[in-house]
Amino acid sequence: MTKTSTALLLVIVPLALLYASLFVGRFAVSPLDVARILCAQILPMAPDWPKSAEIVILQIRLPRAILAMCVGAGLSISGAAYQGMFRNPLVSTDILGVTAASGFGAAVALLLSRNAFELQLIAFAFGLAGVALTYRLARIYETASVLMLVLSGVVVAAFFSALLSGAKYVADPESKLPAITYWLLGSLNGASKRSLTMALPPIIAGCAGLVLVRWRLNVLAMGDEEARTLGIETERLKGIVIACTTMITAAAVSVCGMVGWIGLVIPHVGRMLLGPDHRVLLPATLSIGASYLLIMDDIARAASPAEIPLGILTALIGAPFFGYLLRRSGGTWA
Amino acid sequence: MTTARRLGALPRAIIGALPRAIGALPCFIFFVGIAAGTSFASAQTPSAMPATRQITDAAGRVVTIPAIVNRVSDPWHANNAMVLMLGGADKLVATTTQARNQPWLRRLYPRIDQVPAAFNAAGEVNMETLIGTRPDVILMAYGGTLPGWLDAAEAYRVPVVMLPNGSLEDLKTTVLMTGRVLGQPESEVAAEYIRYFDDNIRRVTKVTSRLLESERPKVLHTATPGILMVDGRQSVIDDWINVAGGINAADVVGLGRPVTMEQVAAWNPDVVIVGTAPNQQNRRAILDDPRWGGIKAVREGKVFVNPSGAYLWDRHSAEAALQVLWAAKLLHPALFADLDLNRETKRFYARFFHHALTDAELASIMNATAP
Amino acid sequence: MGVTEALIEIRGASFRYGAREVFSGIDLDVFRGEILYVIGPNGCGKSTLLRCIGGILALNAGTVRLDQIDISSLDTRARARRIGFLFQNHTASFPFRVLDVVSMGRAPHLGLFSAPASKDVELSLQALDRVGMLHLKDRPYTEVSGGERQLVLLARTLAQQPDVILLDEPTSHLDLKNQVRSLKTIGELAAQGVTMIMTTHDPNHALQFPGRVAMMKPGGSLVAGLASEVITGGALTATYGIGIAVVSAPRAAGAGEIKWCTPW
Repeated sequence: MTKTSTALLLVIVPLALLYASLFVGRFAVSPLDVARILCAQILPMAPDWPKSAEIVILQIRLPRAILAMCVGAGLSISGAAYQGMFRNPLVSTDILGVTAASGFGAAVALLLSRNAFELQLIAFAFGLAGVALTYRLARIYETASVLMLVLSGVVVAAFFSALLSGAKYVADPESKLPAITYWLLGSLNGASKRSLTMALPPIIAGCAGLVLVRWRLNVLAMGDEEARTLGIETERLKGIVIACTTMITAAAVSVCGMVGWIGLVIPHVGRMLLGPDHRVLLPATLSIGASYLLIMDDIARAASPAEIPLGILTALIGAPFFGYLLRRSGGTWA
Repeated sequence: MTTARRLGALPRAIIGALPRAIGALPCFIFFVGIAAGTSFASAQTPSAMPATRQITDAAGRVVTIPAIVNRVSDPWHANNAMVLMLGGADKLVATTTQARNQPWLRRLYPRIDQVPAAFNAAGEVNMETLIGTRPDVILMAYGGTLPGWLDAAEAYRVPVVMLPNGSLEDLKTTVLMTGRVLGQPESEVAAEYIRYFDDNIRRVTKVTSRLLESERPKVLHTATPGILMVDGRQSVIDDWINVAGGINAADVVGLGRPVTMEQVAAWNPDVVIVGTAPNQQNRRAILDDPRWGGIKAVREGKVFVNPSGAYLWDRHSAEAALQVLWAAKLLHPALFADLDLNRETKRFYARFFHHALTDAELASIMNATAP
Repeated sequence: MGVTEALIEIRGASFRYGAREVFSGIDLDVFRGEILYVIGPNGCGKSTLLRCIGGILALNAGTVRLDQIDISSLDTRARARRIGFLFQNHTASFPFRVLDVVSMGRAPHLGLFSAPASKDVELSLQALDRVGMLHLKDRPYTEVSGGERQLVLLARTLAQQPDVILLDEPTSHLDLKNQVRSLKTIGELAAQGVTMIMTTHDPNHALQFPGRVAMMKPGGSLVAGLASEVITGGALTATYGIGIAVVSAPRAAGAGEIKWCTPW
């Protein structure tokens, strides 16, 4: 496959999936009505379809599908950037404790019975605070070495996990506890136009930042000392990468809970298909991640009347696939 | 289940750690001594042959309990209010954190503050606190599995009675069994309560049983809208919806099931009842959410808050007897025009909780706000 | 010493790790276009000195001037445009293409958001050609041999176009053939006017390839000069603490004589 056709495929597939997703769901809307409702957004058309169908397509399915794509893309590019920066294939987006901190923030919001939007804001703020704490802890003598970052991440994640357990411990078992447990399993059911306005700006900004510095990630993957002798301000670059991935992950976790495995697996898929060069890999993971999570979420929302937690699906499919990749690559970099 | 497994694994873990803990041996012997002393004492204290009776519990176990029960431990949050309603609250020696935090239970029975919470929110027990409270019997909800700490409790000669938990019928059985465990006066209250409950159900079903399928509104009973969860079939909630002449819109099984927004749109309920605190705030969130905008109940302004008292009316509560009246009038106001719910509620609390509700208190219960 | 002006002037250089003094009061000049071997026993501070010259570590006292500029006044990027570094052990990460690795040398010449342009790729190809590794340009650099990888990384420092290249034991993990291949390539680059400072634990490198020598003793004193003057049996014996002799033998077909040192 030539470079251009690959690039074209990476653009077309997610968009096609987005369009197809609007036809999938528990609420029966005829494909013709879906198409007409969408057209009516740009063309002047008399609305002769049921009002509820329009709400389902425009207020429920479309925001949810867009959010799925953005979260999938964001978590994947973050995972790829972290794996490069930490030079470790097993690194995931929650290595610096963002997920645990956001999770605790969400649990607090649920304990305080805040609404969905406030929950997202609180979870986002806690995610940022958690990583800030990790970074602060890891910085000694003006530098934050990879090892110190990882260890500090472990410390901070353990701390917030303990707080999260504490929150579950005091939660009302009739209502709050199931809500917290369910939230932790991950779901995009909270998606609304409002959550899009909250989550999209940080996710898009973070992705843009990572895409801009993607070539420098190649150099950073040579190791801190070598990268410095090649003129990279490693502390600044790491700061940029951490800031970008944290914005993305905190926003993603805050709107859809803990959706694991994407940030770990999708970068490997990208590397298998297109090689390790971050110049190509990072944009590619955006596309692959968006498509993957969109498909997973279509299953989560349409396969049964009760919503299937997204985190269960991504892990159920992600883990065996990762195992397959490991076997295939024979333990070397995929 | 996880609790059972965790606790089951604990002794093995302790045994596994023992060889390594030789240094701590004197300490260990000390504890064994205490444990032996305790069981020795409890075996010796009842000088004569104590009078006992037997009761068959929800798990089908024949449990031997003292003839006279003076000290009860109730790790089932909801059932603490039942014990209060039956007049046995002064016998409570251990309760749960959750029961102690229920605002209206505290109002109706302030002493609950002094009852130690031997059970945490998850229903797990602090065995030492529990034994320290010297209960004659422990009352426990039965959901198909026995608690992991059952063997430990029985080793201390504390009988555990499992109570049925699920349907409206289970609720009535639980009231009767709780009364029987507590004693003669409580049993009489239980019988009186069941008569009252059955009267209410008869009063409602006399009307609603004649309703055609098409005349029964589809009712969605929700938990937190932040995380959309609904109450489905085979539950106490499904039961009272049916009694009150409605159909449960949530075509899923069990309480607190997460569903998609789109599924709610597909069910398109005629009525939405918000059943989780803070109900008013959660009701507002539904009305403000454009995604709910197309749903019939929202378009027609039929989003309601479920009352909450000594416990949540819609669940395992003494007020379930009122819930059937409330829901019937809510769903079919024309058919129950003669039903004065405010008067009925005041009479209920006066009769079973010996508390004369002021109008402000009545409003607090109906609006599910703290007193 | 030399008559030309020194490219690098080290004056009164001292370095401590905490309380442990590694070296102190070192003066050293390095001239444009020459290769300087820094030899000495393990732990004498060769690598530390090299890192101080490269600005990776900061001196506790003294200065390193490059072209009259105090290197401690340069930022990371400016320093990387003037000083290239080749480390003794590179931990490979991702299987980047050889050409992509070499073009990383262009990083100090590119902005934060830029990637190598065609001009940079051209320079990288030239650098690969200079070390004789052009045929490997599309191979994953993790799959080439250790010796080839060192030359690829040397090409990366060439693509960097620095004033001086610092090599820290570049041959220590290589077999004899690859050692000779690397040292020959390094010698050729020196002949083309590339200034280099190279630490090595093997004084034979300095004896057998052209260039000047700086010999460090434990405690950090340093003597610099021509190999024939500095590397004598007596000096080696004093430095390494065991008896070492420098011997010589004629090369084949009248190509002069070859010297080497050996313990006795």
